[in-house]
Amino acid sequence: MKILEINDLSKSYDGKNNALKDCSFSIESGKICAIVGESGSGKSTLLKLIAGLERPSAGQIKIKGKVVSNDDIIVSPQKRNVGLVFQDFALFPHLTVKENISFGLKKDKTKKVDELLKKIKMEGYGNRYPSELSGGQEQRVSIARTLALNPELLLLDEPFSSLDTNLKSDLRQEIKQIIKYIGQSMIFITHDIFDALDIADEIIFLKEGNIIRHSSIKNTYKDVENEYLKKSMKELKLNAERILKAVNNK
Amino acid sequence: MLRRSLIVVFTIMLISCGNDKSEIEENNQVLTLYTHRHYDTDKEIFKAFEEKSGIKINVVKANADELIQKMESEGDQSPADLLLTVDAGRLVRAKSKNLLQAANSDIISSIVPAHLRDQDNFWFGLTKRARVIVYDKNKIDPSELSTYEDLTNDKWKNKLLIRSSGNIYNQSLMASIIANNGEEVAKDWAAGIVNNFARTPKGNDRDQVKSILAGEGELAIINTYYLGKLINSLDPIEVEAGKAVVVFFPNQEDRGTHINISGIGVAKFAPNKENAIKFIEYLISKEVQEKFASANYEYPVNAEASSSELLNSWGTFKEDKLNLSKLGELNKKAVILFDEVKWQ
Amino acid sequence: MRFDLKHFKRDLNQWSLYTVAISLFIAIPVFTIIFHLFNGKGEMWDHIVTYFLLDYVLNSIALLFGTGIICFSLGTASAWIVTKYDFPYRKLIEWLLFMPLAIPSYIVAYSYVGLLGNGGTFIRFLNMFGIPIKKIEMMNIYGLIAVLSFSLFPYVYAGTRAMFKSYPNSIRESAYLLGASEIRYFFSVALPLASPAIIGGLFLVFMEVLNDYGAAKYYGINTFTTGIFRTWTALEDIQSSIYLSALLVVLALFILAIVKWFRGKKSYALKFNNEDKTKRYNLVGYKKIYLIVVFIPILAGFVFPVFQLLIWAVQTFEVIFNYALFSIVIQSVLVALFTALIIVLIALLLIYFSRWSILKTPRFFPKIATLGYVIPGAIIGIGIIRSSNSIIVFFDTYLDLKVGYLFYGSSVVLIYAYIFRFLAVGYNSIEANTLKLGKHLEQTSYLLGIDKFVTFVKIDLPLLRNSIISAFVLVFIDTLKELPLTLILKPYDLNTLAVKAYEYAEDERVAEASIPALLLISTIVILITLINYKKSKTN
Repeated sequence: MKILEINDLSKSYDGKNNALKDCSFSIESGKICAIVGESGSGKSTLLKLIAGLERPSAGQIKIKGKVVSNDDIIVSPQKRNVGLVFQDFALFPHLTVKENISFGLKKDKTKKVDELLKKIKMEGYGNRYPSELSGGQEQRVSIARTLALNPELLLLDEPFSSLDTNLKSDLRQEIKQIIKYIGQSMIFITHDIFDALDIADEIIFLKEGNIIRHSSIKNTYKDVENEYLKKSMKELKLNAERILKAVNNK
Repeated sequence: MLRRSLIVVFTIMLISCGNDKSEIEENNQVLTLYTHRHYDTDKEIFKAFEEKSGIKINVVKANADELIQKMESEGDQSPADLLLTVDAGRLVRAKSKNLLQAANSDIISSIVPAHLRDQDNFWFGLTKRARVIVYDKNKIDPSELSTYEDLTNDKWKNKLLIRSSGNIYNQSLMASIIANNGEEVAKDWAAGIVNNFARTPKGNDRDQVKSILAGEGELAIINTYYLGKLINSLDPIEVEAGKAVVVFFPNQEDRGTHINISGIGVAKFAPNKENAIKFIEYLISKEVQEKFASANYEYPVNAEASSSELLNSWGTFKEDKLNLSKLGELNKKAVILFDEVKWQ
Repeated sequence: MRFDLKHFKRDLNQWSLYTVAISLFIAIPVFTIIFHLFNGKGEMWDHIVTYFLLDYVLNSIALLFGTGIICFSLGTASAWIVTKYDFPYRKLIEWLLFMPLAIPSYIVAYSYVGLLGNGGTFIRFLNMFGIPIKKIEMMNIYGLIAVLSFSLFPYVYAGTRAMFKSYPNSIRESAYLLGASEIRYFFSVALPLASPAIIGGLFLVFMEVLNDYGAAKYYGINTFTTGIFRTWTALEDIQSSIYLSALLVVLALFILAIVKWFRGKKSYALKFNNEDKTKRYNLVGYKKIYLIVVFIPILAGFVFPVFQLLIWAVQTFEVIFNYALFSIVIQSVLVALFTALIIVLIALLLIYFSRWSILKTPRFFPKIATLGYVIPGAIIGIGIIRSSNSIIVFFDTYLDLKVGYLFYGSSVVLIYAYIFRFLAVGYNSIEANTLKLGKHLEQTSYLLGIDKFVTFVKIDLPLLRNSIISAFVLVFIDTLKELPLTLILKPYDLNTLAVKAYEYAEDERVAEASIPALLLISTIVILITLINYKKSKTN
């Protein structure tokens, strides 16, 4: 079953330049999809369109087969059952960790919060305020807050950009385990192709508002012509071992 | 939601109108006064009238120009019964804008002299203020002084103090000179005065007197009313300044000293015209006039009323009998000429 | 911002409609004034252009430059000292630096002449020591610049201080580690980072300067605002005075555009402190001399004028003081509280309704509603009287209802006028903080299934609390000091302290004005103290 279907989606903020142009793709339920592109490529816009925080200039978005955005219909973000974790985590600074996690819950608050705190290994932190947490902890709270509502689709905005390289790898695996364990469909955006290679099932490459390629991870490696990959490798002066390691993990 | 709130707003509005209306009907013994005067003396005088007549006075205090603008905008809905100003010019303006009406009362006509009221009885002078020369008694021999015109003489160069041309009393003085001597002469006069300035005009009438005390100039043109206030000030320095100068009434040999009035007129759409006339009659009565003279240092328009001790000490004087309507008519011309000679 | 007709129906929501409706309702006087512009030039316009226009322009520019430079220096320097150093009574001094705002600038102008003019208090003091000085001339453009700067610099101080306080200590430490001297850090790091706040403060200063009437008139300086009055009253040409107001508005919009441009250019991605955790250095040794920087503005802007007012108050106490003054205090406070409350409410409605509007065009409308801040009070008065008159006539003609008494006998019109005049004060200070909050918090809340209202109440309102309180205080102070609108629009039975003080001053009885002026100042001081106390308690 397709969790997300996007047809001819375009978005323009000023009426002249397109932040996103005629994009079409779909994602199967339970998959992790990475959207890779440089800043200004339109990946944040795409995320906001899916979440319903922006409205398309043209095209259609379906979630679980139901139209949520087109020229006539807009389903509000509240009713999409989509979760979004911002790059800055957007924790409510005046609420405690517990209050943050239970913010969207209607019933069984305590039980659910305790469960989630356990899942993110932060049992003792329930009464702290966000300003008293480290960056990694903030991120986990933010993800827990989103998962509390069991969203159909989880969106992550640059989830690893604020972490240093050593931590990154561990955290990527950690997140992947959580997500895969609950069978959560997820889309995340990143400018770092190794984030994508590490945990995604498929990758969408965006450039100047256009999808230049959409393929599974394995195909991505075979795609020697992939401009983005070539450029990234060159820039980061990567050693082959690391790539091999990544391939072996697949 | 929008519709519901609109209904609420309108209901509130309707209820309040209803209230206001019935209030007016119940108590028709009211009088609404638009006044530019804001003296504590006035308040006492109004209060005495309220007690005597049972008529309640609503007072709106603002600049005469704003009040005129307000009356004009309010049109026939205006609650104003009376317009009280501190110069004749504004009353002339109100009349020409069709905001006043005639108030024919034998009492008023018999008390207020003809040159101090409108020929059609649209307004009346209540009190007079003279625009005089005051001089430093240690530096000037009064025999040197004679007329307003003489102040352009070179002997007063760098000695004359006067406030800016934006002030209505200067504009009225200029208007009287235009009326008496013609436009060209008046313009030359103003240029001559500018030429004799001790400094660029600034501050108010009181500041001019204080400047004499400080030696910045030797003579000034000011209103008698402010000199009275100065001498009776609570600030010792002001008293000292007031006592350092002597009053000279100019033009005694010809037309007389320029005077202005504080005056009153009945509003065109006055809801309470009768009360308004009663009130004017009260204001020009002997006792009230004496109160104006003693507490506010204004000359009475009622000949029977005696002036205060202070006013008497300056001496009696011959006043310019020019009909004050002229001042209003020529006011704008006066301002234009001031601008042309760059009287700041 | 091209008009997207295809999605108009999809994207139109009730919030767009409310934003436009509220904005237009508040902006009625703007339209009245614009409407009058089309009546052609007034008969005295050429006369004004020949004799005055250049004067108005040059004087206003000189005033803007002069006050701009002095307010910038006093405001940023004092903010720097109180955030960087610690010294005895620092908290008190931080608070005293706000106090000049409590005194209307025309009162400051009068009190300086009382101090330094002929026979002034300070002059007599110097004379006692044998210094034979007659006076220090204040009544010229330099004096006016000084007086306006002393009374307006806290606008710069307030924002800058908040900004300096919010810098993480790490910035300063890393600058020092890189070998920057203190002075270099101030000029090349601290000031540029604070520039949005400084420019915002200067904008308020400029608007106050352009709108000043009392001080400029007394000092004999021709400015746009004195010119507008003069054209109206002496030249009897209201049409030309509306022309002049339009020019003034253009000047103000020009300044606004520069401010926008500056703000747009500078945006820094810093994670700022929300609370004051700044590490302060103790002020020791020769550095104590820095305290001059905080004492000069306090003395010049608050202590000296209040001192002169107190002297006058003692002289006139027996004659002027009576208990009826307290009823005036209560009336003034009630009106100002009510106005401040409504303005904060409307500001919040406009900010959030326009945020909630999907269409972009309606978001522009609140800007029209906040134009009142740049239009002289008297002209607003005319605009409002004319528009309310049309409404009265409408009711009379079509519905046969006499509503004149409702308009002129109650405070409805006056409060409407205050809202139009001061909406910008509340709106801008709250909006700046909503922009600082960003959109992620509320978007997150939406995605967690929470609707707009609940999000507003649970997220935005608590986070904006402090800025709402300061907007409230600013509007309260401005309303309490407001003069021209109050004079022309107040109902008979309403009296305010500002009006009372003005009545005496207008009659050249400045000393007598001191008691109402002091009551006005103490009301503001008490309010600010209460709020500061409350704030420090809840923090």
